[in-house]
Amino acid sequence: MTGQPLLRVRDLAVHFASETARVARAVDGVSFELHAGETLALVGESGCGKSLTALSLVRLVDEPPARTTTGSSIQLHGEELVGAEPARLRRIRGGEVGFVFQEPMTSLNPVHRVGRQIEEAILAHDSVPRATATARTLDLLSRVGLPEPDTAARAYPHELSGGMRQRALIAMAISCGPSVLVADEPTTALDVTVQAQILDLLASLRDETGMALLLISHDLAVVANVADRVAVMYGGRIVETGPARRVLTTPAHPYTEGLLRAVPTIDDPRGPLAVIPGRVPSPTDWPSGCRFHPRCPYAWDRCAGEEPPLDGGLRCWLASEPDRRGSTGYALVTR
Amino acid sequence: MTTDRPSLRAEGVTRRFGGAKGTLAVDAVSIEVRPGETLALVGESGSGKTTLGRLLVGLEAPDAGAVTYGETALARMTRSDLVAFRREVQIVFQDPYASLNPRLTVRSTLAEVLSVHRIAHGFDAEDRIAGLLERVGLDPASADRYPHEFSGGQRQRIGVARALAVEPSIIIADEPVSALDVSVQAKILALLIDLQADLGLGYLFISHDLAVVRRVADRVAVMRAGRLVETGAADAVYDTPSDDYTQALLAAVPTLPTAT
Ligand SMILES: Nc1ncnc2c1ncn2[C@@H]1O[C@H](COP(=O)(O)OP(=O)(O)OP(=O)(O)O)[C@@H](O)[C@H]1O
Ligand SMILES: Nc1ncnc2c1ncn2[C@@H]1O[C@H](COP(=O)(O)OP(=O)(O)OP(=O)(O)O)[C@@H](O)[C@H]1O
Ligand SMILES: [Mg+2]
Ligand SMILES: [Mg+2]
Repeated sequence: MTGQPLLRVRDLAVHFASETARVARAVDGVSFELHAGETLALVGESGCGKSLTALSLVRLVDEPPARTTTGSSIQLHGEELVGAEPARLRRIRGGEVGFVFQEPMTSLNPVHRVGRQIEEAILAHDSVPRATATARTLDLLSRVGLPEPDTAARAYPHELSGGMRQRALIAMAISCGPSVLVADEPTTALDVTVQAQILDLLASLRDETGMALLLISHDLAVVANVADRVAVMYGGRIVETGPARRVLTTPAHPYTEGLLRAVPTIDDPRGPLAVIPGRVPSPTDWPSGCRFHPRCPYAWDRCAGEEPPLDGGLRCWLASEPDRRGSTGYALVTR
Repeated sequence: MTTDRPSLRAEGVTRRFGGAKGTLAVDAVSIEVRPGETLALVGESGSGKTTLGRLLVGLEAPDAGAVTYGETALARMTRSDLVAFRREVQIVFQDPYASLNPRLTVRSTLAEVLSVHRIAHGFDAEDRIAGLLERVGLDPASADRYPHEFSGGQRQRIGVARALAVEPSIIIADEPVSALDVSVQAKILALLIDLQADLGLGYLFISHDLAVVRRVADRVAVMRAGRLVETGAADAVYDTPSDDYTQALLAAVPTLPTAT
C-alpha cells in the first residue's frame, strides 16, 4: 500500500477512571493505518478492547467515564478527530464513516420503523428528496438479502429476527457510501449462506468505491477469507499484525497460535483443540512485563520482567530468542 | 443417560405474527428437548428459531398446537406448576443487552433471580454469584458493574450465568456463544457439557456456527421458512444431509486456510 492512509491511529489509549476502582486501561497504546480499498481485521479474546478501539475512532465512547489519553491521535484524511467539534463528528458518523455495531438492538430506535430510520440517516447526510431516500432504503434492504424489503422497512426493530436486524443495520451503515466502514461482528447473527452474501456485498463496495473496511470478528475463517491484514489484540494492545494469510497460517505470537489451535472445524468434530489457560485479566490489573505471559506456554523470566515492544509486527520476546518456543505448547482437549 | 427428568415438547406449534396475512414464523413444528441431551437448532436467518424457543418457554403462545413439559401442557398449568416451570426451564436470549436490566448491576441481577426462586439469600447468594461469574470466565470483582460497562461477549456470558443460576433442567440457549472468540467459547461449551454430564441438563442449542454445533450436538434440527426441513442424529445430518437446504448450508461454511 502506498500513499496517504485514509485512517491513521497513533497511540490510542482509552482509560476508565472511577473513585472506587483502579484505572482500567481498556485500550492502551494502539496504532494502525487503514488505506482506501483495504480490509483490516481486529481479532482477539472477549474483553481485549476491540469494540472500544472501534467506537473511539468516531468518538462514540462517553467521556467521562472514559478518557482518551493525551498523545492519542486519530486522523481521517489527515484531519485530527481527537478533540474535534461535536458537530463535525456527527457529520462524520454515518457519513464518511459507517458503523455496524456489535449489538444491533442498542443502535436501532425501538419506537421507529426500520425503513424510516434508514431514510433519516440518508437525509441527515445527503440533500435528496424523501422519495429518493425511500427508494434507496428499499434497494439497500434488498441488497443485504432481506427477502421482503417492504415488510422489513415497515417493521419495528423487535419485529425482525436477530439476523434481519443485523442486516438492517448494515444497510444503514452503507447508506451514505462511507469511505470507511467499521463493522463490529457484522455477521454473528447470520447463517453461513447469508453471511457469504453480506461478505460479497462488502467486497463489491470495496472494489467499486474504494471503501476501506475495519472488520472485527471472532470468526477466524471469515477473517482469513476477507481481510488483507489482521491485527491481533490482547490486553488492550496489538500483539501481532501482518498480512492476514501469513498471520493466520503461520502465527508468530503464542497468543495467535493458541487462538488458531482453538478453532473447531466441521470436518474433525472430535479433534483436539488448544486451551489457552486462565482468562483475560481485568483492565485494572494487567500483569507486569508481557501482558500475556501468565497464560503463555513458552514464557520465561524475561517475559514477566519486561514488556516486549511491537517490532516488525510482533510483540514477543520469542522474536529475539526463537529457540524458547519449546515442544510443549498448549494443553489440548478433545471435547 | 437415564433420568426421571421431564422432556420439553412442542407438538405441531404454529405462530403467526400480524394477523391472517402476516408472517408465519413457526409452521406446525414438533420438537422434543430431552434431559441429558443437546438438540441443536440451525437454519436460515429469519426462519423462526427464536420464535420457536420463545414458544417453548412460554414467552409466546402458539396459535395452534401445544407445548408440554413432562405430562402437562403449558396452557393448562396451575400457578404453582408455572412457578416450577419458570425455574426449571431457562432461556439465554439471543440479544444479551436487551435482556439485561440496564439499571441493575450484575450482582443485583443475579441476586434477584436467586431470591425470586428462593435459591439463596445473603452470604450464600454472594458466594454463588462469585462462583457463577468465575465459571463463565468473568472476574467476580466486576459484579458491581452495570451491563453497559462490559464488552459484548462479557454481557453474553452474564446471560449464561443468569440462566445457570437457578439450576434449571432445560436451557433454551439462543446463540449463547455467538459473541465469543474461540478460546472463551471453548470454555463455555465445556462448562455446558460438564453440567450436562453431572446434572443431566437438556439443551436446545440455537446456533449459526455449524462447527460448534457439530461438537456439541447429539441431534440436529434444520429450520427454514418456519418449518423443520430435517431432523436427525448429528453425524447423520452432517455426513449424509438429505435436504437441499442443509446441503447448501454445509457447503457454505468458511474454512481456515492451511499453511503450505
Ligand atoms: N463503560 C465501561 N466502563 C468500564 N469498563 C469498560 C466499559 N466498557 C468496556 N469496558 C471494559 O473494557 C474492556 C474492553 O471492552 P471491549 O468492549 O472493547 O471488548 P471487546 O474486545 O470488544 O470484547 P468482545 O469480543 O467481548 O465484544 C472489557 O474488559 C470491558 O469490560
Ligand atoms: N414480534 C414479532 N412481530 C412480528 N414479526 C415477528 C415478531 N417476531 C418475529 N417475527 C418474524 O418472524 C420471523 C421469524 O423470526 P425469528 O426471530 O424467530 O427468526 P430466527 O430464526 O431466530 O432468525 P435469526 O437467525 O436471524 O435470529 C421473521 O420473519 C420475523 O420478522
Ligand atoms: Mg466487542
Ligand atoms: Mg433468532
